[in-house]
Amino acid sequence: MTFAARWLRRLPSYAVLTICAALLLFPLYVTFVFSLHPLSEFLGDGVPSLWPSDPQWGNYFESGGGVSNTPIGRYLFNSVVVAVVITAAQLITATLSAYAFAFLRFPGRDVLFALFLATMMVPLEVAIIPNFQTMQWLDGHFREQAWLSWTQIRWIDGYPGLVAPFLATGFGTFLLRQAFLTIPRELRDAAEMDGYGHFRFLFFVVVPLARGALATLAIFAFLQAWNQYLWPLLVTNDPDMRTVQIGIAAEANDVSRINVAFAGTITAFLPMLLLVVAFQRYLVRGLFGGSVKG
Amino acid sequence: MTAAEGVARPGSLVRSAWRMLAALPFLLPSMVLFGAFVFYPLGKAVYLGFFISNPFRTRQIYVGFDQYREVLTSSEFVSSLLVTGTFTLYTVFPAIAIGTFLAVLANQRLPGIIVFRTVFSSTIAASVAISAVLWLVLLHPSIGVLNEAVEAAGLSRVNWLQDGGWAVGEHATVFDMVAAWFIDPNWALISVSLATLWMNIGLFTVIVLAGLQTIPEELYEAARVDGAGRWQQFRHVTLPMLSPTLFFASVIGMIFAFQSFGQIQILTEGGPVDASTVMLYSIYETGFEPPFRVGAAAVQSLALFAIMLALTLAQFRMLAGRVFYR
Repeated sequence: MTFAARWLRRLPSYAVLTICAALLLFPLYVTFVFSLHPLSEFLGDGVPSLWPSDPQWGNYFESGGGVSNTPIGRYLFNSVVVAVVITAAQLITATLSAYAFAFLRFPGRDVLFALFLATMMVPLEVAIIPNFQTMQWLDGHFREQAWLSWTQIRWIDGYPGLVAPFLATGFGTFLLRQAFLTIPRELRDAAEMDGYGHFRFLFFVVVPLARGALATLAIFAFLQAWNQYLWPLLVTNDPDMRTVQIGIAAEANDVSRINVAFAGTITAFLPMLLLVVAFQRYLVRGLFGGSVKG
Repeated sequence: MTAAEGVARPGSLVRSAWRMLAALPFLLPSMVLFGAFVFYPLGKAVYLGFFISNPFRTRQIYVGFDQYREVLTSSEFVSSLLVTGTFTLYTVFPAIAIGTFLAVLANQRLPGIIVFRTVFSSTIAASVAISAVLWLVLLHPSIGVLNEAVEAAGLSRVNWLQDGGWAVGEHATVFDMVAAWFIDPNWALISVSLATLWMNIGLFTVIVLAGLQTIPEELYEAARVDGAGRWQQFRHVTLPMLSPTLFFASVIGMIFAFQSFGQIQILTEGGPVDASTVMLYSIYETGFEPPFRVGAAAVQSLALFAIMLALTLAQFRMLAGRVFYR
């Protein structure tokens, strides 16, 4: 078959693929175009144009009122703090507990592991009422204790309240334990003979060997922390403490700068898109509980 | 006998205690966090269900199981179940069908196919808030683009976010309501479903693509030798081999559907009336809006827990078949 004939035969496939891609990306395209419109485009009658005839890149960058300079910049910063803290904490707590379940022998280990797995069956949504009450208690009564007053930690409208329920993970413990179990026990024996304690062995041998699983957990934790909605909505009243998800939803109802709100939506989406595209094979592995070699 | 000898003797109590103590630093952080934010709240929710509080929350009155009975038989609860069920139906299975279609398309061997794979999976990165805003742009009463397309196709404009259809009319029984499903569409629920569906397409494309990789190429070769066309290959090789993946995807999809909240809060606020009030939105309204019926919300959240527990157990059984234990 000649070169030209081969491409001619592929043409229908590409056509179908392109149509599907265009349909799927249409909502993103419209919001992107709208994010480049001047505000006047939204104030007239009828639907704004679907082509950016007069692109206002200032909606993203301008010091007068672009994303970087409206509250949306602050929301993005809050989201970064929350997602980074949650991801780091989950990596630490899950690595420690997974190590205990994979390498240590102690009475009650299987029961405790079952309890850790059971936490996966209790979604946060079920616990929001009591957890919110806990935050109110911590923010009020607990903080008023004389010996704690110096801390001034805010649990409502503060980072501690935004991250606290998500610092440990049953899913992550399970995922990492599966990875740790593939590490030969002989390595532990050899390390023990070299005088390595558990922590040194964990840090210098286990962690480097389980990079893939750790990356999977990191992607999952970050994506979930960045994208969550219900909990940040409950524990923040102060607009300064909103995460970007709450922020863009609130801004989208503010007609006075709706184009900037759309620019904020695109800005909040892009980092996650890059993350997912760059680390897709880790994501797939995580979805299947670490059982697929991506 | 010295303490050291006691430690060395196998099976002794001291040795057991020592081992537990050695494991504690590794487990304590997670145990404390799970205790405070998973197990304690679960017990607390059961406890809260026994009490009603007056609107100012100054007093709690013990009512025992009465509140459980009252909440679980209320028409609001039945309505939220029906809405959640419909929402699940609208979001999970169409998304799996579309995701499978896209995954099969993106699994062809063509130059540059990786671009399409990436595009088709991209919506997995979208949060509920982002996809809700994107769809708000499309469905908005004044700037919504979709109605322009509807009109261009010769159909009448749809009042996307404000038409509750079957869910808001007077229906004597649940059966009347179900009967009205087909003739009086609940556009508000369809709107939040569209935003969710779009998000799910990326997720299911990723899952099905992973499933397709596990099908051995020899099966297709054998089918081709037998003279099977593209459709027959899909019908008799791909689909049967994919069925565990599709089951897994539908369970994940249902779990996500029952956890849905943000898109509803942003697009419809559960309305009109209760037309798009799914279970979680109902919990939010009951517990976090005046008159703050915390106990009733706790009961609803336990009902949600029971449903999700059943789904998660199904998922675990599924995963257990794929995961090795030692």
